[in-house]
Amino acid sequence: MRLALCYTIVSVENKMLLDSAKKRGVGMERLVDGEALLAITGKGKKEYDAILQRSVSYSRSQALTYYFEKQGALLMNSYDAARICGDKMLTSIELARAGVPTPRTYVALTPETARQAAEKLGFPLVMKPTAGSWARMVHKINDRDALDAALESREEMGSPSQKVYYLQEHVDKPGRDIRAFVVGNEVIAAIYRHSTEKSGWITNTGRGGTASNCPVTPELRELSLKAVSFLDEGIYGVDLMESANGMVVHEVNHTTEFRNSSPVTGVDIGDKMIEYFIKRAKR
Amino acid sequence: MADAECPECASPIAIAANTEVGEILSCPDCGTRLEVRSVAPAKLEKAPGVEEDWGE
Repeated sequence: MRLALCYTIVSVENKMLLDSAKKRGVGMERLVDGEALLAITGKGKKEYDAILQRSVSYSRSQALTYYFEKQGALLMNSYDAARICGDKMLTSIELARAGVPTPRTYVALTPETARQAAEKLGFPLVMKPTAGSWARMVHKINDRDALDAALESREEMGSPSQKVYYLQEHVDKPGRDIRAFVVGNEVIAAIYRHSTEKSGWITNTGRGGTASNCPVTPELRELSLKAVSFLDEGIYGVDLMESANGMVVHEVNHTTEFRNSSPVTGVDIGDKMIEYFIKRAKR
Repeated sequence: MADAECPECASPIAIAANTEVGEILSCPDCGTRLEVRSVAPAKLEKAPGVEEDWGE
C-alpha cells in the first residue's frame, strides 16, 4: 500500500505526522506539491492508495487532490470537502443549510452592496476574504468610515478574489474562541484560543493568541460533528465562538494546525490523525 | 549538527541533526525565514513568502 503526505513546506505539524507514521512502522512517502508534475492526458495509472493532504496552498491542494482522487486514491480530506472548507462563503452556506448556529453573514460583490450588507448587520462587523487563513485581512470594522476605507483598499489593491466581500456580524466573544479537532466521527480534543495584547481582538495562535485546554462537553461534541456533517468523513478543525445565545460555528478548516494544541490538551493530535488515516486507507 | 550560512546576512546557523529538506527556519540574527534546500551539505535559501491562498 502506497501512502503519502502531501505538503508545501515541512511544517512542525508535518514533521509530527511523519514521526507518528514512522513510530507506527508505516511507510509514508513525501509528496511535495511544488515538485509534482501532473500528466493530465496520460493513462492515469494509480500512483498512491491514500494521501494525507496538508498543502498550505489552496490552489495547489485543489489541483493535486482532484488529480489523485481521479486516479482512485483516497484523499484526506477530499476535493469536495476542501473546496467547501477553503471558501468561507461556501462553508457559511453549508453550515446554515445544515442548521448549525452560525453568525449572520452576507456576501457582496461590489462596494455598494457591501454597504447595504453593513446596514443590515450594523456595526461593529467583521469583513474577511473568502479564501485564506490565519486571520489575514480579517478586519473588525467599527463604523461606516472604517468600512469605506477597507473597501477602498480592497478595490485599489486587492486581487479579484479580494473583491468578494464577506461580511459577518461581530460576535462579542469572551476574549476567546474554540478550535475543536474532529477526526472521523470523534471530537478528539479542543482548545480555547485566547486573544492577547499582541493579537488584539484576533485569537489565532499564529498571530499571538494563546491556547489552553477546552473540555469536550456533549454540546461542543454535538455541534462540532454537526458542523462537519455535510463534508466527507475526514480530519477537520471546527472554529466556534461563545455568543450570548450559545455557541456558534464560524469556520471549518480542512488542514488544521495543531502544534500548540497537543501540549495543552495532552492529546497526541498528530498521532490520532495518522492512526485514523491508516485505518481509512486500509478500509 | 551542521552549520549553514544565512544567505541574507551571512550569519552561521546551526542545523540540527533531525532537520529535513523543505523545513523552514528563522535566522537568529536577522530573522529572515529560510528554507532548508539540502542537509548534506547544509544549504539554506530565502523561504517563499506566504501567498494569498495559504492557510489551514
